[in-house]
Amino acid sequence: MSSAVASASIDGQRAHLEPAAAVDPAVLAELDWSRALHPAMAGWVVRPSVPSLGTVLVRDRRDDAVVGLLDAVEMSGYPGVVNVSIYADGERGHAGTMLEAYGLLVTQLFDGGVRLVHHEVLELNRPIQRILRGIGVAPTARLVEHAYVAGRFWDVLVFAFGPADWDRVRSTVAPRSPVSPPPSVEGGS
Amino acid sequence: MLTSATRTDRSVVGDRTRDPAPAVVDLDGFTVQPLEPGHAALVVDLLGCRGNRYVLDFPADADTVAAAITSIAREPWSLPLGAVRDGELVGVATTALANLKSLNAGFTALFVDPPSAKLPLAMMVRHLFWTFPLHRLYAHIPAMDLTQEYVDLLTSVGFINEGRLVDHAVIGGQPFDMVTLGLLRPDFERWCAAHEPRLDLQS
Repeated sequence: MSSAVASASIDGQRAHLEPAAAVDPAVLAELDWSRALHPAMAGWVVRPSVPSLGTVLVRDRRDDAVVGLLDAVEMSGYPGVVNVSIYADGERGHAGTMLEAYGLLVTQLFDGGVRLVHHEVLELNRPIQRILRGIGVAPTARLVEHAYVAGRFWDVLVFAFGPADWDRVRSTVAPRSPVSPPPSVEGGS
Repeated sequence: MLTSATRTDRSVVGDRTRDPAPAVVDLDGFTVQPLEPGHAALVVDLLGCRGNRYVLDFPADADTVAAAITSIAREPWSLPLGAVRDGELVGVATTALANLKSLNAGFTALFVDPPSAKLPLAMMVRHLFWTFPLHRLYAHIPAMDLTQEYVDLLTSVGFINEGRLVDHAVIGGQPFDMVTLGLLRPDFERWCAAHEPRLDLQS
């Protein structure tokens, strides 16, 4: 995976992405705690002391508020395939900003030579499933009782897409820019 | 609300007084044993059999394999195993990348002759569930003719085909899907009850 993903900050219209390694650990810890309390989020149990190169913090440029985290980690055994996880702090709103941040990150991943972006989504996380299906990406596997979250085991759905799919999304689903969310997903988590 | 006395009484009179399930590492001429770095040359030979090199893309030199065996054995809930018959190594299996929160681990197995490996595979799977508190094992097998026998083998002991990781593998410069297979502990227990009661984990 290209380390360029997190080696420098990225600015969109509303989103500001900065490498998590450069962020105050207390800010990350607060986000991780919020994430750990959300049933749909299967985040870190204990975040590594040094965040991975693919972890970026997302702020809203309008008020500098921290609105979420994106983790991009190359899958073990699959060079060029990057598992991206999204945490949007629902308490803080800014869903559109997170979607813009996601678009910026994915674009940068593909520009850096990544072959596939891979998502593992809890079966209970319907908002993310709706977004992925909305951009034409269908699940290809259901990992039965693969994740222990909120007191029980849940199935995990696997989605993946490549640069050609992303180009189609940019040109058809979000034609104004790769980071402009369609109105229907505003307010999602 | 339970008191400590109640809990003590329950532990004495409950059904936990039954005998524990024994380890089953010898059955019908097959023996399951720990795989050690000294077996590396045998594993290299195994990698050269049939479609094994596509199941496990790994450098085929004994030093690298020996180091990998040592490394894997140090990981939590990882236990490299070998299956032996008549003094010959007929297969290996291990867990890896265990997730201690979700109680799952990746599973890899290689055999000299997969179509005849149902019993030693079941013995090794059983020993992993017997040893660790795993809820689920999962495996990824390339979707290609040469490795279909592994999909057949794993499903023959209860693994379920859960779908595909599309284009995730690159083999010989070409993208291939990976078949994802999963096995839950209760499903394996049901498989044992129906097909191989000698491997029952509940006795």
